Amino acid sequence: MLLLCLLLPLAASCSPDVTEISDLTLIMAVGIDYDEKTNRYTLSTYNVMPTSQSTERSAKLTGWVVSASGSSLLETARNLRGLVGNRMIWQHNKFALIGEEAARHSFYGIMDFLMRNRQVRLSSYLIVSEGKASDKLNVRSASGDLLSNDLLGKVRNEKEWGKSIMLSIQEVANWQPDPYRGFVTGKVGIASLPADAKDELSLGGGAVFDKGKFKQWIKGDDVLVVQLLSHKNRWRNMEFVVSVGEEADRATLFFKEVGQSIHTGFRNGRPCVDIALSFTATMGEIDRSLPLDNPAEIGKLEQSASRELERRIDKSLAYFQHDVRTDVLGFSELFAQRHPKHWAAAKANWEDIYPTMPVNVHADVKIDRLGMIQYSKGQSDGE
Amino acid sequence: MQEKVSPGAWICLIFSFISGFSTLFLQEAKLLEQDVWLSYLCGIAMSFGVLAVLYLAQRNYPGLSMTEVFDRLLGKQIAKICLCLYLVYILEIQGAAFQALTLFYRTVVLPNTSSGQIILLIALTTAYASSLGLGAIVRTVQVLLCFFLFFMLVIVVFIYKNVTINPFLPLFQHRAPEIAFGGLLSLYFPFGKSIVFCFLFSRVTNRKKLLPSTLIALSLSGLYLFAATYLSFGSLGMNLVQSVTFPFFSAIQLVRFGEYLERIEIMIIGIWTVFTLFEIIVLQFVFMQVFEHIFALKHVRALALPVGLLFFAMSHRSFVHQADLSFYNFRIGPFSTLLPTVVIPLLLLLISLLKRGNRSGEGGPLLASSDDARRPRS
Repeated sequence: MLLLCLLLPLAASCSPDVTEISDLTLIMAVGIDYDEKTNRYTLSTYNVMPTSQSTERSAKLTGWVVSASGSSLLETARNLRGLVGNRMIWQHNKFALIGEEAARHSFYGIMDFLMRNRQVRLSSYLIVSEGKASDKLNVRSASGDLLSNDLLGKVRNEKEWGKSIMLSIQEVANWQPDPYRGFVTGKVGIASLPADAKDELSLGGGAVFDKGKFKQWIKGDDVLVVQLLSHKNRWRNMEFVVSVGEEADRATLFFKEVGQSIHTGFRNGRPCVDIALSFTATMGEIDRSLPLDNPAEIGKLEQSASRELERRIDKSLAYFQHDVRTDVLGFSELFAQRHPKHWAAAKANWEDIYPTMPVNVHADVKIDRLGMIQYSKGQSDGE
Repeated sequence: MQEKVSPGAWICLIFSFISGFSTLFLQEAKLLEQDVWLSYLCGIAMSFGVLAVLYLAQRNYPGLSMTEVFDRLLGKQIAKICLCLYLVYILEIQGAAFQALTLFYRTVVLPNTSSGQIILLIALTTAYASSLGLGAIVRTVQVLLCFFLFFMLVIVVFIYKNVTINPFLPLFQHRAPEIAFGGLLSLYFPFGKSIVFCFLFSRVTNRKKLLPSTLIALSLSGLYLFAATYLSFGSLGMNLVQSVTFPFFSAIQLVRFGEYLERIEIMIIGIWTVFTLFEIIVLQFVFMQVFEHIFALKHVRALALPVGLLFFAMSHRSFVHQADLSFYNFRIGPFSTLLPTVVIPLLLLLISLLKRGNRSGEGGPLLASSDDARRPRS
C-alpha cells in the first residue's frame, strides 16, 4: 500500500493538463483588429519558442507573427491553431495592442475576451494602435531585439519623459464600466527612422476612452499632465523635462513630482477642484550664463518654472474639459468618495458640470541641484 | 483516550477552518462594497454569540460531549433528529466546499481535468486525514499555519503597494436592510460554519479559556478577511471586484517582484489549498463524531472512507453548474442553514435554562449539575 502511495506522484503526468515545454509556443504580444463592415476580428500574435538554452543563446531568439480572422475573438484565436505547430499559451503575453477601429467599435467584447481567459494576465499592458494593430507586430525593432522586449523597454522609459502612458488590463477593466470617468491609455504608432528609412514602433501620446470605448487621441504634453495628476505610483519615480523662459534665454530642467494634493469641494453648490503640486528640479541645460550661486537668481528661476508648469497643466486641463469633454483624471471618483451626498445630487448632470467646473492649479518648484557644472561668479560677472 | 486541544491550538484550528475558503468569492463584499466590514462584524458577533450560547448550554454538563448534552437536554429521540440536521448541514456545506474548490481549480489551473477526478482526490485526502484523529489534524495545522502566514504576509505587503486609495471610503453608504442581509451572508459563510466546533468543546483542555480563545480565533479570521477585502478593492478597483469570480486571487495575480518575476500565485494556490482542505477535514471529522453518536458505533475510524465516499457522491451530484453554487450561496444557504446555526442552539439554551430553573426550585442547580457530571458517560 505504501509503495503504491509512493508511486502516486508519478500519476501527475497522466493529467490531461500536462504540457511539455518543448510543445509550447509563447505568445509575447497580441494585436486585435476589427472590421466594422464585415463584422470580423483579426487576431495577430507575436510568438517565440521557449528555450532551455543559456541566456546568451536565448537572446538570439526570433519572433514570428501569425494572423487569423473570425467572427468572434475566441473563434479567431482558435483559428490560429491551424497556423502554429505548437500549443500556444498566453501566460507570458505582456501586450495587448488594440486596433483603432476595434477600440472604437468592439471594445466591450475585446475586454470580455481578455478578462474571461484564464491565461491572459491582468497585469498585461493595453495599448491602442494607430491604424491596424497587426501592422505593428510586423515591425522589426531597429535594435534587433524581440519586439516584445523592445516594447517593454519603451514602457520602462516612460518614467524618463512622461509623454506616454501604459495602463494595465486591470486598470482598464476597472474604469471601463464607469459611466462618469474616462481614462487614457497608451498609443502605439510607427515612426520612420531617418538614418536608414526603417520603421520603428513608437510609444507616445495617449488614447482617450469614454463610456467604454475609444474616443480620441491626445498628445504627449497632455499625457504628461495625466501622469502628474494620477496616483502616486505613477509619478513617484517619473522624471520629465520642461524648458522655462523665452528663446535664447531658456533653461531646461529635470522635474520630479514630490507632492500632490487634490482638494475637491463645493462652492455655492457647484463642485470645484484645487490642485497643489510640488516638484524638485535639477538644472539640465541653460542657453546663457546665469549667476547660479546667487540665491535670488535661483528663486527667480523657481518662480518661472512654477508658472510654466501651471500654464501647461492649466492648458491641458482646459483641453480635457472643453474639447475632449471627458473626465480622464477621475475627478468624479474623488467627488463620489469624498462628498457622497453632494455627488448623489450632482452625478446626473456630471456631463454638464465637468466642462464648466473650476479647477485651480498651483505648482511649487524647488531647484535643489545644479548638475555637474556651476558657473563661477567670475565668469558670470565677466559676461 | 481522546487527545485534548490546548486553547492556542484551538485558535489555530478555528482560524484555519474559517480562513481557507473565506477569501474565495467575497460575495458579501460584492454586495456591500466599502461597508462590508459591518457585515463581517455582524457575522463574527452572531457566530460568537451562538457558540457562547452552546457553551452555556453545555456548561452545566462538564465532562460530557456536545452530542451527549443534546441527549440530556432534548431526550434521545429528538436529539437524534437534531443531530441528523447537523449531519445534513455538514453535507450541505461540504458539498458546496468540494464544488467551490473544484470550480476554482478547473477555472484557474486544471481546465481539462474532470471535476469527478478532483473531487475524488479531495475526498480520499480528507478521508485519510480525518481518520488520523483530531490531534494529528491540530498538529498539522500548527505547523502549516506558519508557512501560510509567512506567504500571506509577503503577498499582502506586495499587494498593498498597488493600493492607491482607501477603498473603504465613504463609510455607511448602504441601507440597514442591505447590511443586515450582508450580516446574514457572513453568518452563513464564513463565520457561522464555526458552529460545528461546538462538537469539539469537550476536547479543549482549559475550559475557562474556551470562549476567549474562540473569540480571538473569530476575530483573527475577521481581520484576515478584512485585509483580503481591503486589498482586493484597493488593488483591483471596486468595479473590477464586482466582475471577477475570485477577487482576492486576481489581486494576488497582480503581484510581481521587480519586472520579470511574476506568476507567483501558483505557490500561493498550493498553500491556500491546504488550508481549504483543513475545513473539509474538520467537517468530515465532526461528521464522523456525530454519526458515531447517533448510530452508537464503536469504531469511528472505519467510517472515514465510507463517509469520504459519501461526500464524494454528494458533491459530484450537487451544484453541477457554477450558477447553482452562486445561487445556493446567495439565496438558499443563508436561510436554510439558520436552523442548525441559530435555531437549535437557542432551543438548547432555552431548555437548559428551563431545566436549571426547575432544578433550582428543587434544591439548586449546581448540585444537580454535579450529579449529572458524575454519571458515567454512555
